[in-house]
Amino acid sequence: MSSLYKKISSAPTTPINNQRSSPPKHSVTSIIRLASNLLTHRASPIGVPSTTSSLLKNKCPPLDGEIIFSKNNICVHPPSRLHSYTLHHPGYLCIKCQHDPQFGSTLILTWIPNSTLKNRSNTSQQSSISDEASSPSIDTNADPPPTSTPRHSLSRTIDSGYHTTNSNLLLSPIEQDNQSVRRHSSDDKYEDALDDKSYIRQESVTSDLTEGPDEILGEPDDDEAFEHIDTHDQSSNYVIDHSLPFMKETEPWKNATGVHKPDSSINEDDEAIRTVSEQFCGVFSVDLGKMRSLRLFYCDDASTTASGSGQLVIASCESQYKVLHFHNGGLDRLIEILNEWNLFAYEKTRRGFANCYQFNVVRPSIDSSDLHPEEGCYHLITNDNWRMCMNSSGQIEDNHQLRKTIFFAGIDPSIANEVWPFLLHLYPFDSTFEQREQIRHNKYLHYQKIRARREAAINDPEEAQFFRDVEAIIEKDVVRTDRSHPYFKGDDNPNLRVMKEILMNYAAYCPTMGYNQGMSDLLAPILTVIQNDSDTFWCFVGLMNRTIFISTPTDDVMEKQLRYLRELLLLMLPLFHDHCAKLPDGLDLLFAHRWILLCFKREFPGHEALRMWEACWSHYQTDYFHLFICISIMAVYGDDIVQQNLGTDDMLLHFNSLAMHMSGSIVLKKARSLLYKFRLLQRIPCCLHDISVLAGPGNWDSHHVPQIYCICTTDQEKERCPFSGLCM
Amino acid sequence: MSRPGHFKMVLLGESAVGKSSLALRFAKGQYQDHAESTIGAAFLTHTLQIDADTTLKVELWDTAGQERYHSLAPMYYRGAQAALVVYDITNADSLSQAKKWVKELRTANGIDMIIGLAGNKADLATTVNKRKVDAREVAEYADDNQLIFMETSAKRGDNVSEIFMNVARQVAMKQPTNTLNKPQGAFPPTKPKPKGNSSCCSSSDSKS
Repeated sequence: MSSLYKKISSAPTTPINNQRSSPPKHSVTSIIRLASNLLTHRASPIGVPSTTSSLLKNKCPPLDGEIIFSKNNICVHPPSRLHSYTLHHPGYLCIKCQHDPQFGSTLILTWIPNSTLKNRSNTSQQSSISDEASSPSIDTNADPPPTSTPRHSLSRTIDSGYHTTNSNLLLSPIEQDNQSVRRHSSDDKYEDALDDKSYIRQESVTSDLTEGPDEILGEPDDDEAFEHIDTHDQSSNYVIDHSLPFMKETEPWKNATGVHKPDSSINEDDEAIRTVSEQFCGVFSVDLGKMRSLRLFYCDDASTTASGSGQLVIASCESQYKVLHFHNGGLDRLIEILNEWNLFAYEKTRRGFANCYQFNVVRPSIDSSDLHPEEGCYHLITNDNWRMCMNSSGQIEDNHQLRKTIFFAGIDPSIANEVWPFLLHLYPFDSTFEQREQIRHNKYLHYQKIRARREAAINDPEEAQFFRDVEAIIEKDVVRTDRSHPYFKGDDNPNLRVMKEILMNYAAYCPTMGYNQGMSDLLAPILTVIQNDSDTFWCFVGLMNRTIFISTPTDDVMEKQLRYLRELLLLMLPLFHDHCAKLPDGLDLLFAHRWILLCFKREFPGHEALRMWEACWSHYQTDYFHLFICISIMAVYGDDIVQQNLGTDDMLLHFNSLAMHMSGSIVLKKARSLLYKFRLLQRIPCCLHDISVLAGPGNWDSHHVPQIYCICTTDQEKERCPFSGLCM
Repeated sequence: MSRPGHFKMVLLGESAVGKSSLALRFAKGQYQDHAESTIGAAFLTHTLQIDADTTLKVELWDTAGQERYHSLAPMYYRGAQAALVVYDITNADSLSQAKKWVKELRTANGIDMIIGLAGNKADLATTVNKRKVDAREVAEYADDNQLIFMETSAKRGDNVSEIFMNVARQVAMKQPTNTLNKPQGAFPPTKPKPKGNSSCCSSSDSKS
């Protein structure tokens, strides 16, 4: 009833995964592969090295209709940044070559959600179709056995092995591959699918180019796997022509040559009932030759992801972005393919076909030499070691060590509700259990007083007006803050009322601050962790008092942040600074405003953002660690900007499009390393003098004292600057 | 492929009047309940076909509405050729805020700036007593201030592309050749000459 694929191993450098694409192969396949590997694996970004262009003589471009890459379980994530967890919409990605009247030939990238494949597959077997826009129709039934198939004939097998997802199939590609089950009857398959208890069903889609026997030397596994496919009675498999006719009903497949917005094709009736994320996760098909850029972002967090995992970010000439997530690896292979393609594209460009297609590879990584020397020496604060931080009466004896550990390793979410009140200054570190009970009690009473006073303000016309205004803004914001988080989900969720109440009371407690947009975003995670209104309120007060993220009414604080950031940038990342400096308004650093105002909450998934919050709250060596994180993001993800010479608008787009797709752990590591380097500087400019006031000297007797030089330019500045006269 | 002409347009208005929703509806045809508040600036682009041979790429800057961030606003509207000021028809205060924005824009960017005024959430007008702003009064104000005025509904999509299109047309008319690049190198227009409003059509076309 079922049989297993043999484990597939292709190029030695390519990780084993369920990717089963084969490039067009020749007798020189191995040479080219070697060359591609050289090309792809070390250099970043990858251009078109002249040494390889000679290879072109031995290699034909892919033929019309040839699929040069395919892989299943490529995810699209709905755009909402509200999610503290990620919604995965897996789908099937393929890239095929297509004749293009303008450019000769081009690549069409298509992503089809698995849900569509699944729904439709039952009715779609054995169809052979003509795709009016692209390749000539290939009748799969008529395909001769693979050993004698010309290389442009495609035999595609969509193998719907429905697996029960045990935990997260997305992360177990190898297993999936090994278990790939081929069923002989589609009815079986369908029934099985219905029986499947798990709501996420994965279809492992395999596709192969057929190959002549002389072209598969060195890859016996592939060969066997392939023969294996063909020993089956094809009529019982889903053998589907590449043009995938079953998609036609939902998406105008014909549009494959242009920018194809996933939503634009949904007909009016459907649109009404589709949610935004459904629209977002529809079939996506673009002509890569017409894109402005392709970027491949590696997330090399080896502990959690398969190697070669990351994102493919496609930007159209209109600066629209699409992000496809490779959770199971596959980027290495894609780079190989694109590199080969780049060679051909390069040839075409030389022959006078201008085209905006370019791609590059971003591997956010840090050399071990670049890491903070104490990186990796600390472990997450868990329940056990948290208890050990306290003496028998509950005092935390070495808060420096604790803060340092939090700075490097963070806090286990299960005890965040216990630790945060210390970081947010509700409890002093040296308080005892009894003292904390007392503090908590007193604070509770105080909170009730604040509430009562606010409620009494209704009698004073002036105050009443103030609260009406504040209430109007808060009400608007509370209903749109983190609504997809389970804690705030659903209509009439009582926690929304609690959030509003706390914000109102905060405005009463600190009327000069009142309510600033963004506060609800900062409060929401605290509320979800602490879950008690009085404690949450006081933690929030602590956050507002000691942290620097939020603007005062005059925006002075924001200006100050940006000034610091510019100076740090100049010190730590001069190339990026120079790039911004030469753009009109580039040094406004617009893209970083939200980073600072919300402390990266909308840039990284929930848990990663909170890790950053904790690192900032630990006030380890600096009060402005968030600025180091800003610089770190630019360092890790900003090379592109400098290389492509992106303007102000495009910088904003670049970083906005990366929001929620960046690797928080790499950014944090880099930020720690930047702080370390900053601390090693012998001399710093006068405006950065205050960067570690609150953090104090730690457990050292004296502050960090670099030499300070004055960079003030105007007389007024010089007059105020305590370091004026100290020149560079 | 020709690169379309482009212009920068900024969205301004009190918080929660629907600026981001208008932008999302315009650029992507989508609507989302409870869309998160905009913090800092967001940026979207969308290409409009103004007439047979003019396409314009709108570079839309979406901003945070609350007055607190007011001092950041000049960074956002600097260099914009057009603005869409938005108010909420169910909130009279939001109109006065919109008027302040218009004044500020006229002071900062001058009379040349094309400004649209959108009375958003028009879908709520049907609900009894929800409407707090009279459209006729606003229309008069708009006339006095050379604003392109429409009531819109980002939720239903009413008048959204219309108001953006009208603003884009005016931008195209006002700045014919220098900042807006007409498509180049494509096909010569099949029609001899666009009619009427053709200040945007350079005479060079006819030489071909």
